[in-house]
Amino acid sequence: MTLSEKETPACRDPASPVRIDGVMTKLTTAQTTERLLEDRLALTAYIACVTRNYHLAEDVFQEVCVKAIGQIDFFESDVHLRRWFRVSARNRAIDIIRAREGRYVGLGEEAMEALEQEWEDEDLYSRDDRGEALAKCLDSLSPRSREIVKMRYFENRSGREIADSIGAKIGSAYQAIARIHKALRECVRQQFEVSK
Amino acid sequence: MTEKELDVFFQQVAAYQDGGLSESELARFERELLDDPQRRRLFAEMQVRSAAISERFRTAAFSMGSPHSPSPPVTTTPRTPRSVWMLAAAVAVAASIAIALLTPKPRGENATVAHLTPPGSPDPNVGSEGNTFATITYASHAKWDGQIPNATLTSIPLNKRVTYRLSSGAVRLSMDSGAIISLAGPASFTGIGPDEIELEMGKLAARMPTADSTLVVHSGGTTVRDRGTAFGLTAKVNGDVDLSVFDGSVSVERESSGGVSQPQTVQEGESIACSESESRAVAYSPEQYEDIWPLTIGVDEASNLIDFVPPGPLGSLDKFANDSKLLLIPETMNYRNETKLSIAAIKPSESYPENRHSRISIRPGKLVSSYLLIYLPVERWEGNRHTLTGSVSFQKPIIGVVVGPMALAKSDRFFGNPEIDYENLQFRYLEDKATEDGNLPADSLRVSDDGKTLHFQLNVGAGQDNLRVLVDETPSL
Repeated sequence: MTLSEKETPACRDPASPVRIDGVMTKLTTAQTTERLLEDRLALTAYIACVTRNYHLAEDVFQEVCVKAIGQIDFFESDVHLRRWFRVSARNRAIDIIRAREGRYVGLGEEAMEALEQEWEDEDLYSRDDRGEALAKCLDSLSPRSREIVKMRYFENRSGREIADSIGAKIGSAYQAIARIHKALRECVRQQFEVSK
Repeated sequence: MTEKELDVFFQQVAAYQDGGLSESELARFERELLDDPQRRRLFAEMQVRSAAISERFRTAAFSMGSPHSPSPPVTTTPRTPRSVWMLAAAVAVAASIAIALLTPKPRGENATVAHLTPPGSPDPNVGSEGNTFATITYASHAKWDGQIPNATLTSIPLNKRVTYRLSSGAVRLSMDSGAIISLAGPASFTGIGPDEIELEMGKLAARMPTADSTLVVHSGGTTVRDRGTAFGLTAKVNGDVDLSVFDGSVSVERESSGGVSQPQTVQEGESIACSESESRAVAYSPEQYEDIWPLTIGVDEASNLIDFVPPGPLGSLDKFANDSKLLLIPETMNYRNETKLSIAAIKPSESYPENRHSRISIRPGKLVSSYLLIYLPVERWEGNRHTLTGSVSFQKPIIGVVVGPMALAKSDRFFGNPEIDYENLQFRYLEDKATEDGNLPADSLRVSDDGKTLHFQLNVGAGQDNLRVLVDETPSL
């Protein structure tokens, strides 16, 4: 029996060392791959705290994945893997930004350290039911709101471009994005309540 | 936190995500995050939600092939635990892996061209007719000394006799003579005429797209004249110049206290270093131009999973082998097609494998550039499986993407690079269904609606997946 058959990520403590037949072991390449695929959204979101660009965050995620999977018999637990991944990805993202733009402007080390606590929370990691709920909520948005988030997060358009397209000032574009996030947050919460 | 405070905080996060907070606003935002766990939680949730939104639209774009749908079809199959597990199982057997999910960049990360406000220019944002020498056709993270960036999507002309200072980032210029120049910051340059530029400091890579294109670059006491070429030039602050010729040859003259030297011809694959006192051959070193070369050859953006062959003679492809990257090779640039061509290829707004039977027709006289995207594994063995996903955006619109073995062989004859032995490339086609006992999923491609971006998800194994992107070089009116 393989570890993934015995222990699904939902029921095992991610901080505990991996055990097979009572013997403490390390994450296999297959397990590392599986965990990273499951944690992809949360980790990409963490990288985007630095890159502020979800496409670049995806690129960094992919690069660090290759590195992680090359670390054979290294990760002792999911938490160990996630911590290592976040640190590596953060450093890589900053390097890329410095190379491209000359300097990194964004949240400093202290703030990123504080945010680490949030990314330790299991709730932030992959939840397919949350994805389903978000999909339904996106569908319930007005066509204009849907277009705004599509432009912002899929087409990677800047706030200025969105403002131009809706004939508003940049502050109004941020306001519109904020309102959509608030609506989606509330909608997803309601979806969960209904499903309970 | 009150509703009002929540609204304001979400707006701050939206501005932060966009890089729209001023230094003081950023400092305040950071302080508030540090002081308030609730804000940190909300921020983390908004980051994850944003990533999820990005993925929903991406999934919709890929799985639907419904280019005109204004919204993501939420009925598309979400990534279920089973599909994640199957994907994990498919890739986990590899000794190393590139996990990649679609990274589309329908718009450039910084696909805006800054309006320039050159000091002393009476009408800085619009070059007056007859007074310009070039147009900026792309800017990547460009910052200008003393300039006020004002984002716009239109290309803008640059005035002659104005010194422009690019402090960081990179730009591509189209000279009025037709020559294409890419510059990396820090650089300082002045336009002299439609085919003449002075590079006071910095580095440029230049390419003449047609036989009619001409270019003269002055730097320090050195003058470089092209002869139907591509070359790179670095100007140092002390007036010294390094020159590498990637294609064809250039003529170099040096001016010193003793007068102007006899023109010296520098050939493809050669580099020279010029100072006031001498000009000497040095080891060929195109590497320093690798960062701006993609812009010069008409590629605006590409995922980090794509490597570009360095400019200059290609040599053996083996030296570019990489298990986790794709290689992009410019093949024939600005090829003028002489006969009508009909080739199987995916067109803009189409996807592979859904539209694998599509064909394109290229009329005689059309100018076409060809780029080969190729997966060259270091070792070819059955268990070597990788998923490579990303995108590449071109300056000009894609005519078609050639993927089938017959179509690749047919188009090799017209668009192939003479230095590549295409017959030696094995299993070069894409797969429209799962292979290797179902362990290697089908490949998928999509060309954006505007035709400028190719999104790919290649599940590669022992073969050398190839695809050829044909781009329309017809000058825009």
